[in-house]
Amino acid sequence: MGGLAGGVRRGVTVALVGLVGAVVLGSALLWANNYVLRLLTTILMYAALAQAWNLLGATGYVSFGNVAFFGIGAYTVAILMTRFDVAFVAAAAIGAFLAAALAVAVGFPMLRLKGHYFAIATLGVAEAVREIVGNLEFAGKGKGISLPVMDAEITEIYQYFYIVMLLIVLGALLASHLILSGRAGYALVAIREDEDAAQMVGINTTAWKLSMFGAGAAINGVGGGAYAYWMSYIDPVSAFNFLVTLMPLLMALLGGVGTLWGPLAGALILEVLAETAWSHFLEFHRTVLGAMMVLVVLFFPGGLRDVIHLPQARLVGILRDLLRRYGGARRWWC
Amino acid sequence: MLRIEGLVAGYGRTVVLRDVDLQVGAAEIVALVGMNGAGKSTLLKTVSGIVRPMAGSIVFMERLLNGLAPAQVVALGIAHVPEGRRLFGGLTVRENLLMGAYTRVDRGEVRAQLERVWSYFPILRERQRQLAGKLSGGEQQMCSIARGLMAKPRLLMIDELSLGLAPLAIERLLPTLREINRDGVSILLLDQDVQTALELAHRGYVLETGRITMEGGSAALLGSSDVRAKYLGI
Repeated sequence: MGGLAGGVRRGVTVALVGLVGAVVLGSALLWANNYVLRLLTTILMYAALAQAWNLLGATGYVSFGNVAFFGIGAYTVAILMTRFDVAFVAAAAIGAFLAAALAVAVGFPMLRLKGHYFAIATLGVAEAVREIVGNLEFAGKGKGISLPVMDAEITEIYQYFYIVMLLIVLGALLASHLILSGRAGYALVAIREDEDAAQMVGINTTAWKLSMFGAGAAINGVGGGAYAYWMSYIDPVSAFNFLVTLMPLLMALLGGVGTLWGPLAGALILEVLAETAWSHFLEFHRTVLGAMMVLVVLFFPGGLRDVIHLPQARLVGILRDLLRRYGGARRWWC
Repeated sequence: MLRIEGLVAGYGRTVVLRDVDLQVGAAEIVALVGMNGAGKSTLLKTVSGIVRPMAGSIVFMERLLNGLAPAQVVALGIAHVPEGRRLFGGLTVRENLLMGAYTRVDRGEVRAQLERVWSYFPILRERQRQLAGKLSGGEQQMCSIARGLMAKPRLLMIDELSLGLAPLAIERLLPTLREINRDGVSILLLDQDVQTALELAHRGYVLETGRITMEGGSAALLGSSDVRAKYLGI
């Protein structure tokens, strides 16, 4: 009984939040100025990347190399649009395909690795891809590539990319929903819980891991492609920026790995925080990011859900624990 | 029903099983006993497609299993209850059982099978909403066997049935396993506890460093001076 009522209440909450979110995002074109529109576009981009990371993340595999696929998408769009006059949408689709193809190619051997071995391997892939792309003559080497700027009013350009990112997020959300809510979702959880046992009950673990890695890469590829056209200039540093791996990972962790809405919530919270507070700290904000990651993993491995469902007593307990352990801290704030 | 001939298998370049012959008939309980490291688990993993055979053949109901993926082997009717239960600890008992029916698509059939499995293990029905990781050792073994049964297997392979269980918990499992067997499911049972395994089984094999060294009826094996000296310490 309680569970059912709880489920209904939860459903209502999600529906309300979703409705408010839809109204805000849907009407943004009417009320938002360029600054807000740009911020929203960035949040949406990260929301899509966090969802992309979350697909493989749901199996318990942690990728530290998603920016490789983001960069592949960005460079594919840049090269196709400048050298071959391909339209943006077609170029982005090809970018997504190439990113997914690379993911499947490197994933086939790499997804046999478990735990941190896989994480380190993905880190290596991202570094290798950046070095290779950064030394290709037709990719502009270190100088990068300038993309054609859209022939439109500045506000229209902002609106265009806002809509593009919104569509990417909706696509990623739909894909995530179809994957996570059904039989497939259980397969991913089973792999996370015990991969060998998952295999023994007849789950094709290799196929699931590969397809999640590939699907995540495709979303990264589209996101990277849109980013390139939006910025209208990319170079190896911006297209293969490690923050593009780190932020989505942290957002998914914060929101709750393996959940449908978690990565979206995480993206909203983290990007708003980053924009409002940390932009004043310049390079220092990476320290804050790192600290947040450590705190989330240590105390709230389930993400925001853990925070929301945390009984007050436990929260007080954690704080007291922290104070006791780092007693020196008490002196400086009391 | 299961016919293994001349099986050679191992990991990388390490050969664990050498020229193993083993058969399990319809509605039979067969025990495979042997010490730690004899290769018992490797044999099961080779049958379920997790380890690839290097030579020999594994035939199940007239179908060659060599080279099939684990999912295909499960779908053909062989369920593997792994050593150490290996439940999905973060999922409920009910969810664990439903995961066992992952290769089954017919929902009505799955529901019917769930009812049948509840009837074998009524305690699991009571605990169905509990997390599998919170069950006692004996209940976890029940849950693991029940998860295997959810695939509606013709052959149930159990790796280390009694490992880590209290004698009382083992005593409770044995009648249920006999009942499952009477309902037409063949059982291949692996255990280091030779006494328990052979008491339950109709026939048995002894595996020593990758080779079958003895085989025969359970009573004969239990009576053999070799088995008594090596495994029962009598």
